[in-house]
Amino acid sequence: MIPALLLLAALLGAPLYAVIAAGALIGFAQAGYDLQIVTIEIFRLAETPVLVAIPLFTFAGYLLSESGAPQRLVRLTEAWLGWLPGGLPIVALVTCAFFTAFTGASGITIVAIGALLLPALVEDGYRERFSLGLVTTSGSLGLLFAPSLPLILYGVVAQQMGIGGPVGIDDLFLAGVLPGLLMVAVLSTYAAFQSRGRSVEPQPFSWGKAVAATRAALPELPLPIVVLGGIYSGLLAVSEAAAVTAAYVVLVTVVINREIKLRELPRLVRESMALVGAILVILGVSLASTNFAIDAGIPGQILDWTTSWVDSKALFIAVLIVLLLFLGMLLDIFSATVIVVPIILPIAVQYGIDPVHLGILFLAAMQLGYFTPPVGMNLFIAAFRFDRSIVDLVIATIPFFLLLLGCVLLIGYWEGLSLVLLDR
Amino acid sequence: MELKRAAAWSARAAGWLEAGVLSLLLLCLLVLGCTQVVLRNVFDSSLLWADPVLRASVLWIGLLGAVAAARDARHIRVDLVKRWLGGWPRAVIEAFTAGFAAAVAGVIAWHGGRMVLDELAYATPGDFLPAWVLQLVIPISFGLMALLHAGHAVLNLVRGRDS
Repeated sequence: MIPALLLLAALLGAPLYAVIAAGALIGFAQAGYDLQIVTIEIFRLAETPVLVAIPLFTFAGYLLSESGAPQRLVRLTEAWLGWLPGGLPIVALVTCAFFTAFTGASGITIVAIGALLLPALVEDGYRERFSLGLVTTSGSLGLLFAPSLPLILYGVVAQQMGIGGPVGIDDLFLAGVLPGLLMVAVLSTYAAFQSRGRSVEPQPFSWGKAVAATRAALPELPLPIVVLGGIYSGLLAVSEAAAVTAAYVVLVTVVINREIKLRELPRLVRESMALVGAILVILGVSLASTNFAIDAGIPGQILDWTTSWVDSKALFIAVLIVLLLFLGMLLDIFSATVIVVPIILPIAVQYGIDPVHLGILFLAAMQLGYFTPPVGMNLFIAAFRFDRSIVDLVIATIPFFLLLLGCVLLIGYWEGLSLVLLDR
Repeated sequence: MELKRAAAWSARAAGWLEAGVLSLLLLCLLVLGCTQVVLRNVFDSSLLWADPVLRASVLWIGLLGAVAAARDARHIRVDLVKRWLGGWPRAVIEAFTAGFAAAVAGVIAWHGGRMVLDELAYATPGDFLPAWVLQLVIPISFGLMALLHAGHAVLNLVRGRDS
């Protein structure tokens, strides 16, 4: 009865943090606990050092998207990759992937970069349906690359569980590289095929353009090196890399390029921290609900139930992918991570799945949810931004969906793709 | 009219206040984080109190950011109704869900307040500040969120009646 009512509240649009908190409060109350236990769990947000990275990376991403960085990034990739067959779509894919990694996959990519690229693609002779599908799909493409927020959040949740071996955030950052590149490569190949028979020839490569674009983007170019180099060299912890990144982005956007005025900063801080707050409050209350679920033995029951009819790892992965695609349609990636990972992680470990591999598979599958009808968030953002109907966008994204689904299956069944860069 | 203007003014002032406090906290994260990097890599030392301050700032930023999200009605939710319904049915449902959120946030604020008082009575020494000072953000933020959700609910009821 109560779970059904909570589900109804969630479907009617109650804030998910309130729904999760209500579940924990009611559960603990029925079990006779003092409800202070819920606030004590929320307070555990202050005991998780790596969370420091989330506000800092989010702020850096917000500043970048408000500055001229998206235009410069497009120009840079176009100058270096525009001569390839399917050059411009590849530019779109690479740029969006890079940008999404930094802005945490919150739909900003479509607004900031998709809007620049859609008219250019159509002008370049690509069919409109293909172009529309491409920019909508690209909006969630960089999710598997460091330092994307969903990767960090998965690491935090998995660390809290503490089963099936260590799940370092830096491990996840490495594990996402090849699967992420696979997705970019598959879509790029598709784009190259699409470019055959269109009216405009690819632009020849020009050193002059390449140098000019590189010079314009010079202040921003060290960013990936700071983040990835800093973390993988062991020089910086993830949270430290976030602090350095944020400081560096403030320096570039406010002091060097002067594209953002100092007095605009408080507004941008408030906007970006509202997003961080929306994520962290869900994480906080889910610490309580997870604790209750474990106390009530729910993961064990689900595990028993699953093992009773899923008798192999291969079958489990198939079931998991179907389940994740379904969840991805309904839930955003952050809520899904804090609600679903505590349930599936213990089960996956039982089937011999590495927690890091599970994280990559989980995020890759959830990435599809961003543009799975009927409620994929990016469908709506794109519909709003490009003034098209949802049905148009759904049709436009179908080929991309099928291709990425193939990637998700490959990622799921080929563990090495995620784990080969790790020393395991 | 006078009342409406006063309400608009106070909402704007609250927005500024949130922006100011959040900016200070984020600045604290940024400066302390970078200081730690330099101290550790260059001088091979560190500020012992910096780590607990950083972690506490994240809690404060997260929960006060959640207050800002409540004011802007930007909390993460399943957005089916908003897209498929309009007019008074939508207003009624919005009022119901906001009222539900207000009640839940209110209960958390209440128990958060109890936690702070208990902590005050037993006074566990914290890492750098007494724990109750850090915990104070829980009743404050959830209390404010309860008020904002409740205001949102009332606003939608009025809107539903008018439409």
